[in-house]
Amino acid sequence: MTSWTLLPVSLMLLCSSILGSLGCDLTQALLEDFSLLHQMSTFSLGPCWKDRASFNFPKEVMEGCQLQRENGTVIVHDMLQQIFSIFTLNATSAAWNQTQLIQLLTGLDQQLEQLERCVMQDVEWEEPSLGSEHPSLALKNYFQRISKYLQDKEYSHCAWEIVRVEMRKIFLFMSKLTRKLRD
Amino acid sequence: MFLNQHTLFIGLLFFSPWEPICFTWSHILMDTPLQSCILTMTSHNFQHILSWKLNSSATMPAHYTVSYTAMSDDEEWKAVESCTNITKSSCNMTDIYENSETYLSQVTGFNGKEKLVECMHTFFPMTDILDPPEVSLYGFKDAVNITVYYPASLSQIKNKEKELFSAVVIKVLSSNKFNEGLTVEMDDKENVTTTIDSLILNSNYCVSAQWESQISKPETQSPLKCIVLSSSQESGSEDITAISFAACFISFPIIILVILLKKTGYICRKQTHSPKALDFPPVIPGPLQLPYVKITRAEIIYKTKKKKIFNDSDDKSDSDCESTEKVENDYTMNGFTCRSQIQDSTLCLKGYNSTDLDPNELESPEVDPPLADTDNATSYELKIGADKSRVCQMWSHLSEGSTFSSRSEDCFNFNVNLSTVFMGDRGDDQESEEDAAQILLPVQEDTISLVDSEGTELKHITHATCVKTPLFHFPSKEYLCSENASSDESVTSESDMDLGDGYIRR
Repeated sequence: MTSWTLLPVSLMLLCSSILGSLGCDLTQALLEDFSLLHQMSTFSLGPCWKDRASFNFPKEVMEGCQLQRENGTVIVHDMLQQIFSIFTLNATSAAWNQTQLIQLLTGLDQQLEQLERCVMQDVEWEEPSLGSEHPSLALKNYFQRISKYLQDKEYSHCAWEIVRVEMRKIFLFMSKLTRKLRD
Repeated sequence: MFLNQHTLFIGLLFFSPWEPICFTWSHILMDTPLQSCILTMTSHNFQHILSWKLNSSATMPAHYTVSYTAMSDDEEWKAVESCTNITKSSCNMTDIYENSETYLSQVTGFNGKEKLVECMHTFFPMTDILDPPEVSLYGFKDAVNITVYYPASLSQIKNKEKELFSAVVIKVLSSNKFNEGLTVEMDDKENVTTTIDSLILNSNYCVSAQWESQISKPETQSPLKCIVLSSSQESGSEDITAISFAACFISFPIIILVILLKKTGYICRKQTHSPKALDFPPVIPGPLQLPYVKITRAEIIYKTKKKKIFNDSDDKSDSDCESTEKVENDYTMNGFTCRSQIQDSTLCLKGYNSTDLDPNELESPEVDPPLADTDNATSYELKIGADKSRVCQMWSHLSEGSTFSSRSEDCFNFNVNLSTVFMGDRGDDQESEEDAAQILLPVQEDTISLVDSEGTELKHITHATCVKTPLFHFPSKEYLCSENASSDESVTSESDMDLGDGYIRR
């Protein structure tokens, strides 16, 4: 009798792990987010060329951490979490398409849940060593610069456009990362 | 107005900072409105070409300079090295752009140092590349093979940028609401083929492809390519088999028919060559001629002796002779029938080898000088009359030593010594070939009177005499001489001659 009860439990665990591993590929989802970011604003960037800012995305650090699947998943999870936090600020641009903005935020939420399931299964965080920057720390500093920029620009339309363009680039980077992880 | 501006300027000096006033003042006095232009970025084959067009037809700038900057870069404008102070209205910026970045492009038009045109353009390459991948379909049974072709122009961009074009999304649409999306990883510089199976027969399936990293819009998707899966589509290979069988069944009988026609000789007849032994040269019917026997035509030259009995009118009587032809024993005997006196001229008797020769073709007696003025005169008898179609030969001068000289290849002049030869009449048909080959020449030494042109006979030998000469071999069809011994009017000579056989012998 014990064997009969253990059998479905084991099957459920096996299926959940399989489904969970399959759900960790967010390439298509990230590209959909990218498409929404591109389409929700139709204003020209010409007048905002004076508000240009360099946020110094830590690309080299991110590319160095792509060797392991688990670290890559964590990186994507962290980035999505930060992006979600920025776009959920109340002072987002009113000129944007609000429907597409909501779709973007909904998709980000689902992807975070999906990645959380992937991270909980396999992640083994390494303690940051002295002299080397942990990817999570680099990402944290990066998104803090963006938040400060918006605050300094008083959440102007051009500032939000500059941030939107920056996020568009980030999503392309994440899609490349996840494509590499699935191969 | 100018006084008011000065007044305003003085007032501002006291109440406002200096620099903004200067800037504003210079702007009022010296700033000229810049012309705008329309900038267009075209991206095909992964090449980004920026082109511009002026809005107004005002002063055209002499040259242009293109500069750029990235939205995520706070540095100043950077001039494009290959597009500085150019006269054309386009610039290739492929090597500058990164596909994930957003750029600002600025075109400035100058006329000397004066800026006339300034226009700006934002460009995000990743969303503006409108070259979808090319695909092809091939259906068999219940499956479809989809081939995605690797664009050759993709190999020309930076390797870093190729990462954004490493995957293709294929959308499969069908009439039975079957939709499926496939992601195909593109190998470097190779075409990729994928198969979708377990499809429904007799259904229409359409396929479209786009780069995975590109935003889905009509411009970034390849044109739909559709195929209908039917049960008869099992082949392509089956169709080929049917066609090949049909070709064999049609061509095989044709080939057999051609072979049969060729064998039977209806077509492509070969000229059969008979053995060389059966090849006869065109031979004129006649006696067999041995190659070592030289056959020549004998030509007896008629020579007339000048006599008093001849009238002057007879001098031209040569033409009164007519040639006759007599066929005996497959031989033709030719001769001359002279109706009048023959003057002292030389008659050339010619023998002909063919019976089909027209006697009219015989030469008229030729007037030749006597070959030799010998002691022995030539006497001869000519014909008698029309009822006696006897042919007489004419002889040339006879000399002691019978000689002949050839005047030509076909004509011989005979000088016969009458005393050494026999004479005879050869008018019978019973003449043998051998006899016919003999030359009958007059042998009588006596003067022989001739028949004048009026046909009056003279007391002379009226018969022709013939002499046998072994030197000549005339074809039997040659008629050498004949006699008119049957004529009562022929006067035999007082000489001792035997006329029994028609020959006058001594």
